[in-house]
Amino acid sequence: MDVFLQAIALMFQWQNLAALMGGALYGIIIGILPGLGPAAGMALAIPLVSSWSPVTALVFVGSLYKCCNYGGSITAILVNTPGDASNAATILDGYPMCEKGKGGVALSISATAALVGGILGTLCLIYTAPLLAEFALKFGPAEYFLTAILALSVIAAVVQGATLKGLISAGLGLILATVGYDVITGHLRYTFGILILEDGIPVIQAVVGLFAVTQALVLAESMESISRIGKLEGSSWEGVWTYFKYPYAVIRSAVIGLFIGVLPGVGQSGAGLVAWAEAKRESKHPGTFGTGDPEGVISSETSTNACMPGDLVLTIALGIPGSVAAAVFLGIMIIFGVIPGPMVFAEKTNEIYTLFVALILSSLVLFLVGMTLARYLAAVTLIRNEIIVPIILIVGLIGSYAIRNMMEDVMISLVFGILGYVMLKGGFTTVPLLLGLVLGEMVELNYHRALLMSAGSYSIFYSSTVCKILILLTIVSLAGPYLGSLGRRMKGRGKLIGKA
Amino acid sequence: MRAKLNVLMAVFFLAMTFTWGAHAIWAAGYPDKAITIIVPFAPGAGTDLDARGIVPYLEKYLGVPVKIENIKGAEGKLGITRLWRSKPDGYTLMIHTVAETLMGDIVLPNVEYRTADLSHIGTFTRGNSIIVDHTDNWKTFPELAKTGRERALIGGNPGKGSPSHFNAMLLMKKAGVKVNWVPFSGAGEALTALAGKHTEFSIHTAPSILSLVKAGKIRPVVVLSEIKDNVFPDAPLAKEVGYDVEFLPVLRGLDGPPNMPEDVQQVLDKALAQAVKDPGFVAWAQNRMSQVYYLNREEYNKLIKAHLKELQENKDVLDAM
Amino acid sequence: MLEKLKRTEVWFKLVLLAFFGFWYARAFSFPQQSRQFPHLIAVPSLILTLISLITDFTKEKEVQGEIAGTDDSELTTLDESARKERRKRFWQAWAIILVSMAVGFLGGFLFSAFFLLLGFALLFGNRNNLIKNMILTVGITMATYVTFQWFMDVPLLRGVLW
Repeated sequence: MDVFLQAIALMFQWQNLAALMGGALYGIIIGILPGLGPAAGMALAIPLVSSWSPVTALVFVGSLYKCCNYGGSITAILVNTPGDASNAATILDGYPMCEKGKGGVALSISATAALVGGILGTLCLIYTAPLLAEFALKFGPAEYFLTAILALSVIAAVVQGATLKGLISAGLGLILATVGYDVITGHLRYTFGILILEDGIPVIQAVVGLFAVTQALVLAESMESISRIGKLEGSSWEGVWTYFKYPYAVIRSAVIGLFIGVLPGVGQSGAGLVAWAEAKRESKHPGTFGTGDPEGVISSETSTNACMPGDLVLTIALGIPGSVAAAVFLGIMIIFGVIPGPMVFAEKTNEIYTLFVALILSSLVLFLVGMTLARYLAAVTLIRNEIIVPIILIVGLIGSYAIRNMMEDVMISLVFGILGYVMLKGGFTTVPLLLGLVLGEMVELNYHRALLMSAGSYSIFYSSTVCKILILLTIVSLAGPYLGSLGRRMKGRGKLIGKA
Repeated sequence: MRAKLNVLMAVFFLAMTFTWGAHAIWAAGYPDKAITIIVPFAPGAGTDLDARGIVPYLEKYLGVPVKIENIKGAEGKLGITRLWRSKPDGYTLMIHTVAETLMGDIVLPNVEYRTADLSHIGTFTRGNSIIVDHTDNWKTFPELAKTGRERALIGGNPGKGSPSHFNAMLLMKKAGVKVNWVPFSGAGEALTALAGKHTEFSIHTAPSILSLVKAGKIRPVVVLSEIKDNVFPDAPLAKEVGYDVEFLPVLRGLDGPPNMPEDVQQVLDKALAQAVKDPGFVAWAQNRMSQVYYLNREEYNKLIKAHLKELQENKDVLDAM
Repeated sequence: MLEKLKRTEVWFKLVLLAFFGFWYARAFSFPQQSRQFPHLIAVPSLILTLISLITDFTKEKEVQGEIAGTDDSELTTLDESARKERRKRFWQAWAIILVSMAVGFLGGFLFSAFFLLLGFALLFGNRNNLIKNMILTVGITMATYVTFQWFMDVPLLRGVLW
């Protein structure tokens, strides 16, 4: 406990407080500007912080990292444009809420999620990092494959009600995921000599196309502003109260986000999507998801905010970066002589514990900033049509452009924009496509890796305990909706029998 | 007749003076605006961090702003291709891992450039490929090799076509060890697999493995290099355990597009030579656990030729990758 | 029968059939391991699309927008002129986008931004708002420049021409 008191005392030294606020604001701004993610943001900060003390530098970079996601949530909710792949799921219910005039509510839900999800995630990081790290190590390629399958099984729930089209959409996503350089064989698939396709279909550009561009086209057609009812409804505080009405969703999403964050290489983009899909699956009224159900925003936002501390678990506990951003953070830690590992808690107590305090406080900063700005930002949804349409296009396309400074990425987004529009008109939903695109590589790569390890034997997929648990969860996930309705029918029959 | 000869000679000398003068003026004029250094990887990757270390010192000794542009994609090809197509005026350069780029030419599909034809200016830091295994597994390489001759081992590598992979394959071939290689996307994934005992050994450079070694999870078994590793000086070299193989070091080099003018290259080489000696850089390299390793233009060009020869001689290993 | 063919849903499915078929065929040129997944996904997707297409022609019921979140407005009955109006706006929007992209390709993304704003303001805006919209066009373009080129070093003026 005294380590924390010491850390808090350190935190309140003016330069560390300044670093906290500075890092947070810098992170939010980087997040709002699409295309720039925490990795680039932190790398840009290196020359700035290199002359500072390790504690101050880590506070700055840590709160930058934590707050980056939030800016992307703002654009995701207001203009249907994700700031980073991890905000993709927030679009699904956040933007429809804006259409209903509840933009301010959605933004405040997001702010509250930043607070709660961030704190929950960070607390788990602080108290259970070594345990989580050991758990993460149990995952080898076979386990990753099964995890990806489990995540995909959630699609089955998402497509409930329009199964055929939903599966086709998922199939399309999975197929598109095969484009690119095959790590296993070194062969190029479906690239037709185009260099930029070799890393596969870039997810953010595709998401910008499928959601931002498509939405801009829909708006252009309808001549409306984002808020279809022409005014704003609901106060910022409504969002906060609404958030706490779904405690189970909060816990569940935080757990999902944390675990996805802990496993290296899974990718934060999955966290929000899986949490959202799981919320829809377990809901008694799944039909409202995607039309502006607050639970959708709560789930995806809490999950992505709990994901970031999860990302740091392996980084701090064992020095293994689980994502590109974590790798930058690790690099910065090393430059300042803070070498991660079990000893780091004892050797660099001040640095590490102040970092933890900074992560918690930056969640609070996000909440305060978010709540203050919510009302003003929500006014964006009232901007008239001929201005908001080009704004959405510019914000989205510049995001695609800024990732690699290439016009070709903008073209990719436009192509996906057409695809999204056609799918919309054709009655297909794009969410399974997104899930397939995001998870496809994980499924395929790990399948092949596992077989390479076992020299072709399939037993590797069911030998370890983790594998068995994952298989069980997948079966439950797939059978779930049917068991649910079966259970209800049995209950109904039981009632009849009882009456008779 | 005499007059004509005089005029001719006068013209000749004038022309020479002019050319020499123009060259001198031009060289003195370089650099007069900002220089962009392309790093063909994401920010935070090993090459990127090393680049960010040397760039402030290059700025100092060149007297102009130097900025880094990360162009990641297609296993580095996007950035390298961009450099390949740039004007050789000295304002667009690249920092990369030499052996990796060179191997990329040969191993990767759809490559437009020839690394050997780039303008090689100098190298500045170096790391070594180290074979690491889990602490529960073999303690020394001979033990590992013995098992590997009886049954195929499961080895992880951070990516097909990386110098680490190549070096390890060279050693394994010499030792007669059979390996089932499992390719991962980056050091992070490969290390997680090793630490969780999903693979039996893996190949990495020192900075990636330091934390895990300190945590007692993995250990360095043998260093694939001709010099001791600066971070793990106690780890045995390949020749010390009986296998004298020539390996490719993990060197960061500064290069430019093909056919950069001589004088421009001289200026850059000189600045690089000063930058690597700067106490600030030396301190940075120590923090970063990179070994300062400077090769000037001549030495660097010789190294490239030596690498190429090595790759030619071991074509069978490359084909097997 | 031919009337049905005009529906977006139907021709999209035909395109999908061709797409999945192509994907499947192309995979034969890959090494064995690279081939597995494309085949595994393409075949069921092809079959499902075929089934969906066949039901479109055999089932006579009116297509409902079954999935929440999809745009129902094409499917609910709109009168012919409203539908034509929407179509016109859609193509106008695309024209603006394509011109802006072409300009951007030549001169840099900043010009794309400017043309997008200009195009939509002129073609979609009201006469009375013209002055206000022009000011906004210039203003937003400048804001874009400052935010991205200045602060983030994103090259907005990099194009084929220079």
